[in-house]
Amino acid sequence: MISDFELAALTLSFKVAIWATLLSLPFAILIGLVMARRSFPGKTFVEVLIHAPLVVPPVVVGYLLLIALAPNSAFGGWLEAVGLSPAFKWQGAALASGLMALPLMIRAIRQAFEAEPKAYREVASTLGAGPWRRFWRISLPLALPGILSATALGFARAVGEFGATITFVANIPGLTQTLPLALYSAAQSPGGEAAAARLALLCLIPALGSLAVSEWLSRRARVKRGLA
Amino acid sequence: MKTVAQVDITWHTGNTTGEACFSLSTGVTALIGPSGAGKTTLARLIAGLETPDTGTITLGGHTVFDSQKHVTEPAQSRGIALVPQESAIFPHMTVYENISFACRIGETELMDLCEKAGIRHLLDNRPHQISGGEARRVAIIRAMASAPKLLILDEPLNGLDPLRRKDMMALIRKLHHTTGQAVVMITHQAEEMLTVADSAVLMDGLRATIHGPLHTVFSHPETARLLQLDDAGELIAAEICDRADGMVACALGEQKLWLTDDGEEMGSKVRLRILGRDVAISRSRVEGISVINQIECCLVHVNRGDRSAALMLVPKGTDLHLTSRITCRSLDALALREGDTVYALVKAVAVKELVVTARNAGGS
Repeated sequence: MISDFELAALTLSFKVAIWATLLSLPFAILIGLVMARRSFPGKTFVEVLIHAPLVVPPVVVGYLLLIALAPNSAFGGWLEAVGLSPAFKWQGAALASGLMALPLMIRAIRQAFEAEPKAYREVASTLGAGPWRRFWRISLPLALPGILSATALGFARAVGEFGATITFVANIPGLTQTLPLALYSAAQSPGGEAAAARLALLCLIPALGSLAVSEWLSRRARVKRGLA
Repeated sequence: MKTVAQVDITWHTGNTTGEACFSLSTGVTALIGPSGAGKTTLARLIAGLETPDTGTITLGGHTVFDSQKHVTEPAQSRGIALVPQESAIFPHMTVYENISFACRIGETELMDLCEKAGIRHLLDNRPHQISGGEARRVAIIRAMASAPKLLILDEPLNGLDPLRRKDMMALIRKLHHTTGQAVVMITHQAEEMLTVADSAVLMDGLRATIHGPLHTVFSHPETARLLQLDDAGELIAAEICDRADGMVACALGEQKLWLTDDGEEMGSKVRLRILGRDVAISRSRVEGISVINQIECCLVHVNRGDRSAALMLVPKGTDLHLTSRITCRSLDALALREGDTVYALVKAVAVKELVVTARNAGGS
């Protein structure tokens, strides 16, 4: 039914996408929060920079990663020396997919933070709650539905990542060959039509599954506070 | 009364500069003024949600803001709880989680406050399941539970129907007596100020400089103008001393002022309001008249206007004041002069009872 080669691609895809999402999430929350709450000089520039991966061809992002982190670069060489080089490893695929997913996640999380009425935080502060307590007890729980859908969106984006991944870590079966890369290979090889069709279907599982889970979670959160 | 806070600040809203200079004492203070006078902004400045341009704010002898010494304590360390008009109940928590969010009092005391506010049965509810009035009470209890040095309520009676207004006014006084916390209540209605407050700060056009005990602020000419009181009347604090025929009497020196019996306990203190237009004047006691209260007074001041005159009267043997508004024609017909002894005729049903405090409770 499903070959070892396809199964390997599926599990690798999950591994890569989960790590990519977990890696991006704290940054997405932090950057989303800062962009929602603070104004600072050069904010527009930062905004453009954050959204760049959405509009720049993914190949360019992979290429930049390659230049910055390949073993023959200064920083990449150092990473190689300490054994942390991501180039041509699944970790590299996770980094590339995470970077591509980040802008989408930041966007959704920022909107969630912006939707929170200021009055809640103000009241909490007059009740004696400092910034940390306000964040953990008020802002974070209120933004949770948004953060969940951002996570699902990021996960789905990471699973589907192709251009940046293939440029940065190449297409090595069992090592960096995620579902879209395997599908690409199958579609390129003669007689690989059936495998390509199966892989295409497999691609839908994590994508639609993550969307369904996030919908369910955010619906539950909304019902709890009487919004739905 | 002890001074709780000193406020002497300036700020700006758009191009206009605001100015506030007053002290707050223990008890309930009404911050009163017409809409747009800057009351909410002033509350936010005091609470630390906004920063004044210049000046100082001290709370319990501790400076929380001083522009010259560059002291600006953040809101969370000031100990000033602000209950906004929209209540701002945290929607992701139950009522109980809301009130225990910043609870610094014991569970028994907290439950006692909930009981008094009538929200004990709501504790497991989610905010969307309770009414606006209930949410407001939850917000007040949540703030009181944080044991603030000063509690600011922004228009707590806005949007409530008349019956609930009355309940809420009584509740604010009751809760204040329970916790002993200093309370500032923002309002634009004289009725609310007169019913709930012990002292008042009058605010208009971003200026809050007239302040003091309720009587003083109430009789200030600005108050009547700003709050558009066509007839300010007088506030009288007295004690229930007699009861007969469905009526109770308050002592005014040796004399008694009768009013309808609402079940007040003997010895309880009441705050009464008598409007000038409800007080008629007679040279001597009148027989065969339905008006029960005929208070012997000394006419101390006559303020003659175009058509009517305001008389200031002091009931014999007291230092209380009554005002009477009569036409100039009556004034001339009776040939009233300052220093005359007259009788103030007050219908019992015209005496408005604002506050009743049981004999053993503190406050006024």
